[in-house]
Amino acid sequence: MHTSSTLKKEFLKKWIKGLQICCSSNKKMDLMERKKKIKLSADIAMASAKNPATSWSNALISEAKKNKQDTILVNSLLGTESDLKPQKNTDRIISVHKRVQYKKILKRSCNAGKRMNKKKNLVATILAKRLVKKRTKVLKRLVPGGESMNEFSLIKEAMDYMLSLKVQVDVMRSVVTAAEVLSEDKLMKLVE
Amino acid sequence: METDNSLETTSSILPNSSPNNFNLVKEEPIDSDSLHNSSPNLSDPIISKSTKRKEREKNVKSSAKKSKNVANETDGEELPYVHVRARRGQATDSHSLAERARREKINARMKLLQELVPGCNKISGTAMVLDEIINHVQSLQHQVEFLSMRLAAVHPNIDINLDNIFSAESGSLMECSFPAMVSPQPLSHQLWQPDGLTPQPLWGVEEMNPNFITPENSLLSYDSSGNSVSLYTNQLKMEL
Repeated sequence: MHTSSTLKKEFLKKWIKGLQICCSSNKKMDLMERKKKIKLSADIAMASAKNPATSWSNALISEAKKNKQDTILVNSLLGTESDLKPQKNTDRIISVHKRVQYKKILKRSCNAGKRMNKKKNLVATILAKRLVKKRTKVLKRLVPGGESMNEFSLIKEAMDYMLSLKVQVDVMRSVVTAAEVLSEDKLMKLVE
Repeated sequence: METDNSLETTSSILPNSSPNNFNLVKEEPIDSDSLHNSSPNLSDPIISKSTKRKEREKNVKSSAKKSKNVANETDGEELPYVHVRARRGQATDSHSLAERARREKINARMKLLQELVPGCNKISGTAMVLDEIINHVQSLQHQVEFLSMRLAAVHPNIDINLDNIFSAESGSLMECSFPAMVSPQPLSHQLWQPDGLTPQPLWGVEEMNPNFITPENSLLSYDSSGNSVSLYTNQLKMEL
């Protein structure tokens, strides 16, 4: 797809930039720290490459900003424009929660005296709905920023998130295999 | 009513005069998204498809039998009004109509999701499909973790091999025939100043034009073991 290749390039550029930033700061890092930094820069690169459009990217970025250790990396990677967006997002989240609660109350009061439409297979439908509910809860936990979305937009966000995860995995895999091949050969050269 | 319908912010219902005719369900305009597939146009063809199907299936005249239409009153927004009609034998409550509209929208999107996830087309039933989707997202996230772990383990210091990676990576990207590679010139300048590892100017970054086929030859001169790097990038070309 045309857009996925441009996305890949964007992601790669930003990721490499992030890696450079985090390496230039600290010389000694053990494995876990390095891995975290790599993953963080990858995630943020991904999110910023798609930043203006989707809410999960905003959620990722705002989460990363809360963690004080990483704010330097994040801010330098993103620049100053990102300051406004997380605030908007949290405001939106709060207002969505309130609206949701209000609607819940309203609906319950309306439906208090209603008859059940489906009388057949009551048990089956109840079971099926419970399963679906459980799974939507899990999905909400998986997709960043998914807690405060209704089902409809959750699915859209999940689709978007899946696509960008695929892109991320592809790019990272090729980078990693390249690095591994190169380092292997270097080691062999040293041994010889 | 069931609580899974409770998290709904889009539909508010305007009751109409005659319950047997269609009710107007008002929906907030859906934000335009940047989804790369045609999801803004999605609902229209799917809804029109279901219209045709229903008309074909049920030709019996009855007062309660109707089919679903997309409103013609949209002014460039996606679906501000959806004319929902009750099917035969179903309740014509405004609430249940709205729910049915909402469910159909959700099902349409679930179908899209099914196409994204490999191997999901044959599964029927929302719960199983959601299961597959969750597994897929989890596996993708785990892959990201593993890959970042591998990258961290590859070199003791990310600095040194960054340029190698980048050159090899750009080589492999060429293989994938990206349309036009934006030249990473500013990046290269950033790279060389803090490191000071190799004073030589980089891999012909300026030469990264859309036309290049074998840039690796120009990329190689920077390393001390210049010949070896050429071998490796050629290997990569063959592998990827």
